[in-house]
Amino acid sequence: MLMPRKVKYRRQHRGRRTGISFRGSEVNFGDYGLKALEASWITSRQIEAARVAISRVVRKHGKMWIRIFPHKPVSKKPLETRMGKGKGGPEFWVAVVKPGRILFEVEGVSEEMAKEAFRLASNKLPIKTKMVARREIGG
Amino acid sequence: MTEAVKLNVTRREERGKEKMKKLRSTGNIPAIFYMHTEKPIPLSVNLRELHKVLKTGERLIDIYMDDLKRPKKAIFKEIQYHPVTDEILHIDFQGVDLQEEVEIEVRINFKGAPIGLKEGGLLDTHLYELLVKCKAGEIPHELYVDISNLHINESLRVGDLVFEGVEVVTPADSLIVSIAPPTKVSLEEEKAELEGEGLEGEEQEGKEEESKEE
Repeated sequence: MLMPRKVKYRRQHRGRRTGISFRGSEVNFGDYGLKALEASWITSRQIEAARVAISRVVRKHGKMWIRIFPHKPVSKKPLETRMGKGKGGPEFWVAVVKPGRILFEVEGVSEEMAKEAFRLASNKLPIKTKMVARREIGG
Repeated sequence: MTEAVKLNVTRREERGKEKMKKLRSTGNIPAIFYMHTEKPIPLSVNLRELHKVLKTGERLIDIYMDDLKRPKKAIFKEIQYHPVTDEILHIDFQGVDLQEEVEIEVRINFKGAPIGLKEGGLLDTHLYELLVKCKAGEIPHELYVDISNLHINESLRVGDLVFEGVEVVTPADSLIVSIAPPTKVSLEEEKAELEGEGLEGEEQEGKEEESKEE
């Protein structure tokens, strides 16, 4: 599963997920991409599940890219603990995704195959998504 | 050689975010026309008409402004899209003189199926467009690149190609396509998957047998 090798601070604030993603909103590496239509935290487990779903379809014919990375640690207090005594330990890692962000890209496969791969992948994700193709002019 | 496509536009006096929002709600989009010999002209373009022009794939167009009798030659310099809805938000038109040289990105059209693909390799496309310098009146629609002779572990670089009528600005050592050998990881994964399926199958068969015995 994806996670940072080393971080400066172990715990982070939750932050806000307002606005849309202008950066990383174009298909830059492959022919087709999976675009997020909602804002969410996507955990490293969900990214891995989607990656496996795509690579099962694409593996023999093409190539895939993961365009998001779980940089953000999410902490959790242990069960049956009283409040206070400091923030809980880091439990898992998430990628902060805003609408418009390209999550995955594929190359070297037909449109039907890409559609199927992204359909399977989007079932593993907590947000609505759509498939987009590389732009011809002015991307 | 490209033929110029016609696009009707109107001059735009309104400026600012709120007014542009209103303009977009009427089915038009803001645009700008600029040329190194003239002052920039803010424009308004009908979105439906613009989509028709974009569908032709032509880069050089004739812009007909409402107050000018002669059209202005221009190329699409930049198109801004909405990140979520993919609607066009704004367009930059760069005015050109037909005899003047311009730098423009032209799409590469790959011809033929590489031999390496039949040998089991994977096609890696690194460049989809090339930055070329040519006369504005001679902008090619597409650049054809023959990749049918590529074997596994072979690649094609910009320096290997010669195009008539255009000078390629993209660095000569840039990789366009390469044929990668089938990855070991994928073969191992495939084996593991097959084995996994086999085991699952065996387990299921075993359970069925057990239930029959009962």
